[in-house]
Parts: sequence; structure tokens; C-alpha cells
Amino acid sequence: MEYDEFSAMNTTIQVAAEGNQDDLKLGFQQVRHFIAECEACFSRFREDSELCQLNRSAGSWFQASSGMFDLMQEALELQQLTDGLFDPSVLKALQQAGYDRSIDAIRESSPLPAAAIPKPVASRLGQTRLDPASAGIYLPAGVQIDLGGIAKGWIAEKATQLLAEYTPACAVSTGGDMAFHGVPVGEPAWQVTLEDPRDERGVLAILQARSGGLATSSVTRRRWLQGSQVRHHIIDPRTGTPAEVEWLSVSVGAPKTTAAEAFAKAILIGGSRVGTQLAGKIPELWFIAVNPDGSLSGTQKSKEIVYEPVDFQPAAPTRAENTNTL
Amino acid sequence: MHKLTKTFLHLWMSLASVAGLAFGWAFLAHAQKPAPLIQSQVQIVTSIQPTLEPILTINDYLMTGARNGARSVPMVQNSNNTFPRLRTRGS
Repeated sequence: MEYDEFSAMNTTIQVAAEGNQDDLKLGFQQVRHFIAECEACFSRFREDSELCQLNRSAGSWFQASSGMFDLMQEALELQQLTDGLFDPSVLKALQQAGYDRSIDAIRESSPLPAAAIPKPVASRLGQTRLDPASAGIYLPAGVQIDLGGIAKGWIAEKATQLLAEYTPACAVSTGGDMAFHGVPVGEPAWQVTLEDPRDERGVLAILQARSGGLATSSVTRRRWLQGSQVRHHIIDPRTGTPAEVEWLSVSVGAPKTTAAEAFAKAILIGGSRVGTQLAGKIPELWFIAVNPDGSLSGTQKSKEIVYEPVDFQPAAPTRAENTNTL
Repeated sequence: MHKLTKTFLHLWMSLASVAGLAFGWAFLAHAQKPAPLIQSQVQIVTSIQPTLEPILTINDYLMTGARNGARSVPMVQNSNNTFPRLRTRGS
């Protein structure tokens, strides 16, 4: 197995592929180049990025690249599928919460000055119009987009497709949003460690991913102080403020990484009711949530994903262990 | 003549009523009956909406293994016998 690991998009990129080192060298180079191009296109921190141009064009038609059009189309579909809990038009709310520069810059200048709590504003993303014939996007005036998470998922998918030309088994992770193609020889699945959101050095479980996408949303990775308030980057579109959540992180498996990313965000914001509703609606979807004490909760399907040691002999549960806390 | 017609009509109506009842009884007797309530089917219907369940962490496995007297719990079984390098976390 060959690995490549580097920093881009303010996160860690991991690439894994099976095959000859020399053959994969070109594939790895292409992935690095593709991710650099995508960062220049989808970053909201670069004034010359296509995303910033799209936001500046709100109120008029914008001629988009095929990648941007594709991504916006998926984002709109996923916003509807999640009843608006996934909403990329929360950029203004995110900026009001203090996330108006890169997370590294925020950490350097934290605590940020206190800010007034914004009034909830109904999303107008649904009024966005797309013209497939010309790859045109019309954002309603005043609507500003942040494609951060879903763009990472989309990039992981496309990079995996790129690498699949060089290998029968590969995986790409963009800060935890992962796409898989094939499985390593002799293995039933890709093994992925689920990081402890309370301590990035800790591992809570090993997940076995076979295909499709896997994404995690967390409220502990990107946090900062605004005045005396602890802020994070998961905005609840219903309130326009950082979401008040019941879990620290949610990991979702779905046929596509973009969908996994959107569902992870929606479930983290909406909690167990939304999670079980989505899992009931989409048969391929599974999810695992990390409770504040580090214990895990998930759907029945997610138990098939979590690695269980072969020789494991469960002990007879004690009275306390047998109590279902959910 | 009039009396004869009246008697014939009464007889015909009686026979038609009896025949109708017999036909109705036979029809209902052979009609498809509703399936009896099967508890397992009821459970399938109610379990369409998934529920959340506790999932064991690596730490749970380690602690349970220690309680059972195991010297160590085999954590990873991949062919390279290495800890997986891919990891997922909130981006």
C-alpha cells in the first residue's frame, strides 16, 4: 500500500492506493495538482476564486465551470433532501460568528471581539436557478455561499476517480471526508480510524468502509472564542448561529461522499430524530455519533461497519451496563 | 286467474329470496379472508424507522478483554498487521 499525506484546504489530505510505487507516483502527482486547482476554485478566502466571483455575482447570472455547476446542483438537491438542515448559504452567519478568515488566522487572533447575535433569516437558497445548457447559476441577491464541507467531499470523490485510472484500489481523505474505490487485495474493506473528537490523538473505533463515501462533522475541530462565547463552524440554518448539538461528532456512510458530508452536518444539527428519519428514508445510509462522554451511538447498520476483534468474547453485562441510556 | 297470478308471484319471490340467501352464503364462504395478525410482520412494519443503539468503542473491547482475563485484544487484522493510517474526523 502506498500513501501520500499533505496539507491543503486548511486540512490534512490522505491518499492511499495499492499497486506499484512507480505507477502510482504519477497518479499521486495528479491528485496533488487537482486538489491545488480545486482549492483555488472553491476557497472563500481567496478573492480571485470562482466561489468568490459567484458570490459577488449574486443577483445576476454567473457562467460557472462544470465543476462548480456540478457541485451547486448537488448542494441544492441535498439541501432539499435534508429539509434545509444542510444549507451552504449560511456564509454570512458563519462570518458573523467570527469565521471570516482561515481557521489558522482565527486561532492566532482568538479571542475575537464579541458580536451581537444575528436575527434568524429564512434561507433563500431555494430561489437559486440553474441553467444546465450554459452552466449558468443565478444566486438571489444577498445570498452568499460557503461550499467548504461539501466541496471537500466532492474533491475526494473526483480525486479517487482520477486515481482509479492507476489502481484497482484507492482511497482519498480530505480532512475526514473520504471516498473509496475497490478494496485492498486480501482485505474485506478499508480500515479507517474514527478519531476521538475530544482528543485528536485518541481513536474510538475502527470502521470498515467498502465503497462510496464516508464523512464526519464535528463541533470540536474548528472552535474559537468570540467575546466570552465558544463558537464552532457548524451553523444551524434555522437560527443562523452555531448549532446547539447533542453529540460531539457524527460520521456518516453513504453512496457518495458529498451526500455523506451533507447528511453528517444535518444529523449533527438535527440530532437523533433527524438521524433516524434520514436513515429510514435512505437504506444505504448509516451513522455513528460520538456522545459528550466519548461513548458511541449508531444505527443497527453501523454495527456492521465497526470492526470487532475476531477473538472478542463479550462478557456478561453487569446490571449497570445493561441499562440503555438512549 | 288473478288469484293464480298472485300465488305464482308469492312463490317466485320466496324462491328468489331463498336462492339469493344461498348464493350470498356460498359467495362469502369462499371469499378470501383477511390474514390473521402475525406478530413478526407487525414488528417489521414498526422497525422501518431505525433506532439508535450503543456501539462498543475500542476502549470497551479492551476493558472487557481485561475483565475476561485476555492478555491483549487483537485490534487490527489486516494483512500488513498495521494500525490503519486512514482516519476520519470533523473537517
